[in-house]
Amino acid sequence: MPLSGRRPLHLVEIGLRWPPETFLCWKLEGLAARGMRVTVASRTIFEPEARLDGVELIHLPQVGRLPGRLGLALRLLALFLTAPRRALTLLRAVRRVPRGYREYRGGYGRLLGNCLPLARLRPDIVHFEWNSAAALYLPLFDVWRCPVVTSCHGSEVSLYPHVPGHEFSSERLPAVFAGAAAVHCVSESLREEAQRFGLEPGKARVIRQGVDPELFRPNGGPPPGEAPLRVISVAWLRWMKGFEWALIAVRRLLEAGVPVRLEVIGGDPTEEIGEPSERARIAHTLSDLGLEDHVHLLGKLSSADVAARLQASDVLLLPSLDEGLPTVLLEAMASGIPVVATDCGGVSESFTHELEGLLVPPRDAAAMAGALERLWRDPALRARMGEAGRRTATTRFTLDRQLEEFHALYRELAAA
Amino acid sequence: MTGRVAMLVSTSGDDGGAVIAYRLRHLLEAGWDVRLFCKGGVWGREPALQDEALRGRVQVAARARADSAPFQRRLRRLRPALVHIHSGHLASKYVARGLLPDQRLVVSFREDGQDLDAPELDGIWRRVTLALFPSDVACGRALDRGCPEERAEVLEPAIEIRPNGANGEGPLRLVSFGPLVWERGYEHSVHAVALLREMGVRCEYRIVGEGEHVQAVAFARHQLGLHDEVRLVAPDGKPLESADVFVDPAVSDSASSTALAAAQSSGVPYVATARREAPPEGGGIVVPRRDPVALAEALARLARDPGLRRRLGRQGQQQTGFAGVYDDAQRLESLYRRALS
Repeated sequence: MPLSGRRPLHLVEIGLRWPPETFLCWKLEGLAARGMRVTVASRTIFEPEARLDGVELIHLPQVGRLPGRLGLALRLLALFLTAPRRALTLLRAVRRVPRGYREYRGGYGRLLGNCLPLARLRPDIVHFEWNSAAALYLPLFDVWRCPVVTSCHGSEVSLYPHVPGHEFSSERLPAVFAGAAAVHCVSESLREEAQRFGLEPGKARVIRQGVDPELFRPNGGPPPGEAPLRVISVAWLRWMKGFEWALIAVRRLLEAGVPVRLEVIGGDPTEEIGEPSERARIAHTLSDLGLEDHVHLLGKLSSADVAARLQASDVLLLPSLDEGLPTVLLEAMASGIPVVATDCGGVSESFTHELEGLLVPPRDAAAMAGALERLWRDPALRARMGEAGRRTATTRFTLDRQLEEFHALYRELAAA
Repeated sequence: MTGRVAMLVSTSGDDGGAVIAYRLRHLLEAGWDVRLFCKGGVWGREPALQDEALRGRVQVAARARADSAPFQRRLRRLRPALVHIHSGHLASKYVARGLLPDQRLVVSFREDGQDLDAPELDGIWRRVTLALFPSDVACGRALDRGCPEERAEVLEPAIEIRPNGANGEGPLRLVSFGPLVWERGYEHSVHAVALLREMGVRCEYRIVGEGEHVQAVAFARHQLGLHDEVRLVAPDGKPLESADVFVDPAVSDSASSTALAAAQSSGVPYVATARREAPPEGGGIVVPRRDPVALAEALARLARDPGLRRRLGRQGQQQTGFAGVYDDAQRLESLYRRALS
């Protein structure tokens, strides 16, 4: 919807990779389709030729290609000449960054070099999907003089503050929350976590993920065959996705005489995530537990292929140790299959235990196996849960609903 | 042949409390009637001597001198066949006063040779049945100072193991060490600690190491609410110090078994997961891989049975052939037999 009837509301998303994750592509294209001007500023370009309908791309220089001192001075001079107040504000803001964090980010010059290319932006809304990116560009919050929104999708709030290796980003969470006009949380659970790091309740906006019910839909027929139980898991091959427990559960099922086949869809974590892939661990566990004939790693697939695999499955297994509100749960529900998921993060906010699926404790392979066996023994239960899941997904978790909530939030902030 | 033995220790000796306690238990189990007389607050606070198996066997006088009258009276009443004094200085006092005239006398000397400066050294050499030295070097030094060669013996020091909690009190102290990689399976052992807590078994778990899987292990600790029970620490060179049980939750044969061997040789019992190619032998309990319940049950068994811990620790040392406390106690027993023969 155009702001003041003349120009569209301009949203700039910063800190995404290009192309962004699937759920973000849907969001950005959906908002563009609703009349917003959407720009993505990214310095992590995986596929330069990728295009999103209605979405512009600003290609930021990579960290290793930031200008040297002379280049930096020239850019700063240019900013002084064209927007002196912004230049001064930026310099003051960078100086206010705590020394430890500044050094962690490469020092004063590097931090300034990161911020300068974005200092001239005049958007209506800036949105950071990742708080770590928001922390990096925090000095610009004052420069833009527009509302800044950050998102809490999961790990940055629920996991990283509790493990070594993310100390600097975690320490900056309170500053990021303080500087943001609103903080989007994908679940109530994450909102509560974020409040422990200084998020004011009044700034928190819970907007849950959405799913396209046309792309993810049941295959129209009766529940797929009875044996073996066709189980599917979809996630990046990262340690917090808990695949080892899923494999132990499969072993237990086989020992209990339940024929089962598990398909794992997911790629290795990208370099920017900075984590080793779980591929070797999964491969070893497969072999160690003698599951080579029962578990298949399909790698990363397109959304259409994921939808097809979900349709061909009896149940989605989500063995995660930590989650925000996993989109794949909604996709499975929209596809009309029941879910067995670990009760972590916002998982329990996406479905009701015993209605659309079964919740089990994290790290409990026996409980996972028990839930899967129950669904295998009771095809009617699978069908009931699948239907209930479809109903829930198409009423509570539609992409339209999610987009409308974001659109409303941006309009409200811009108007304020 | 067994008999009645009195051990006298003071703070100036080399042998630590855990080693002395182990010797006592070993001799008692072998049928010896053995008592320990010790002085000084350090010995009074020695946790290894609080073991239930040693009840009534330890006479501690925190403020008394070991050669003081009350000790002499107790010694006279006991009428031991053999007195073992764990300090050259202390032995010289007894010899100087002509005490213990009827007993066979065994004296342990220090590694650093300081008690070879004792004033009554020649008297000790005349009176002693056996003089024990911790090394060939120390023995050679004593021979140079007049020790009769036929009475000199080397008893190499045992590895000090401090089985605190051996009386069933205090938290069970668990340790794992090795690189923090997924092959080590530490998420499962951390989970086992959570299960132990549910079972009412108090424990402290130290994971010593560094590696790329540290986040997963740290998150397991956070998620299971084990900040008080589980500590992740950098390698400190003494990972087995103060450990009651070594935990090896490896999920892969490629995880090195060096740490397990070190635990065995140190007499620390283990709970370890099964290995395909080289299964651990003796000295602990083997459980299936990736099974926190089995790990927790094995650990609970060890927590509730200090005797089992000791037996397994001993077995582990025998298995690896290291000179640890078991060898130390056995050798000491044979020396006592020789002294009494």
